[in-house]
Amino acid sequence: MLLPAKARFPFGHPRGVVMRFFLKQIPSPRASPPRMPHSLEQIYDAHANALYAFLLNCSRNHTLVQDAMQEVFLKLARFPSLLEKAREPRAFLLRTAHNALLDLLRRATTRAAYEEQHGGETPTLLLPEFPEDDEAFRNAVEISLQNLPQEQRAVLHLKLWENLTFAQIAEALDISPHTAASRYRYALDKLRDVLRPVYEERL
Amino acid sequence: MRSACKYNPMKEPIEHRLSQMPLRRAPAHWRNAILEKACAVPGHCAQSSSSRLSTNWLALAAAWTLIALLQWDFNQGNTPNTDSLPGGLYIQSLSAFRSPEAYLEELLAEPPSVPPAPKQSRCTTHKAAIIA
Repeated sequence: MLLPAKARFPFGHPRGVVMRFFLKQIPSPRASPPRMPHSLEQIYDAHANALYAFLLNCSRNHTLVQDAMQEVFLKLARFPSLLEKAREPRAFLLRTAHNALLDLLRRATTRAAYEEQHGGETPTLLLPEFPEDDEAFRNAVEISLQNLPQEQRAVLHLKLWENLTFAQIAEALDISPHTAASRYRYALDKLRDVLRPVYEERL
Repeated sequence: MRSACKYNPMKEPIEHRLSQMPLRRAPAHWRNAILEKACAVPGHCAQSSSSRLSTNWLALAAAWTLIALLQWDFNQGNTPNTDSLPGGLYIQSLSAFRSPEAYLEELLAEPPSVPPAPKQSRCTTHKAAIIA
């Protein structure tokens, strides 16, 4: 003897259960799905070039730059709220990228691998197709930038090309504002000394 | 030597010249590579509503196909609760589908339920004895 339907299907008929389950999966047109305020694509399009130039200036290694940028975007994908909490998204991203770069460089094994890939070729930072292109000046800037210590180069880049204040630079690089200012001053003094002969003759 | 606080905030010509120099841009092919890897983190990239909708409809269609297959299988004379489908497919929760005739037979086969007689308390029995 078969039991009554209610006893056999305490949670409703299987057909109804299946139907209700699938109907729940269909999003209502009124309720928009939860989305990040800024998608990763938007963040990439807005900041990737700045991050790339900064990391390239700091490391002069394409592979290392790509890996550091990948780390930044993986972090953003895992913790989307990080960027929402940041007061200055660009400064926050530059700080995250700088930390990722330092982490990659600290790993002894990866450092050896990067140096091996790096070889003797150093990627340039400045674009050759500058309207008032002055190849000699550009090359002089490239060389003098490469000769700067990495810490000074990072501060110089953030000040010159990102227009950050010393307080923002200090926050991004985890140093004091005074240190940031002095590093910038030393870097600029060195650049001025090296570039003055090239620069003044073109004024 | 100048101290940091006395540093002239106005840009020097060399600063201005350097800041005007354009910098190299990230290679275009990096965009997809980086974003694809980032979006591979499960559940952290917003899936587009259209793709989600189509996935759901696909799942719904698959479920209804399965139900129709089981119904057809039953109509062929196979008994549910057996692995009559190809590949020995057997789903317990879906094995309850019956034809209307079978359901009617099942209802008719059930004996009429007789409600149990109300249990009389000792007090009621006593009252009845007094009345008698």
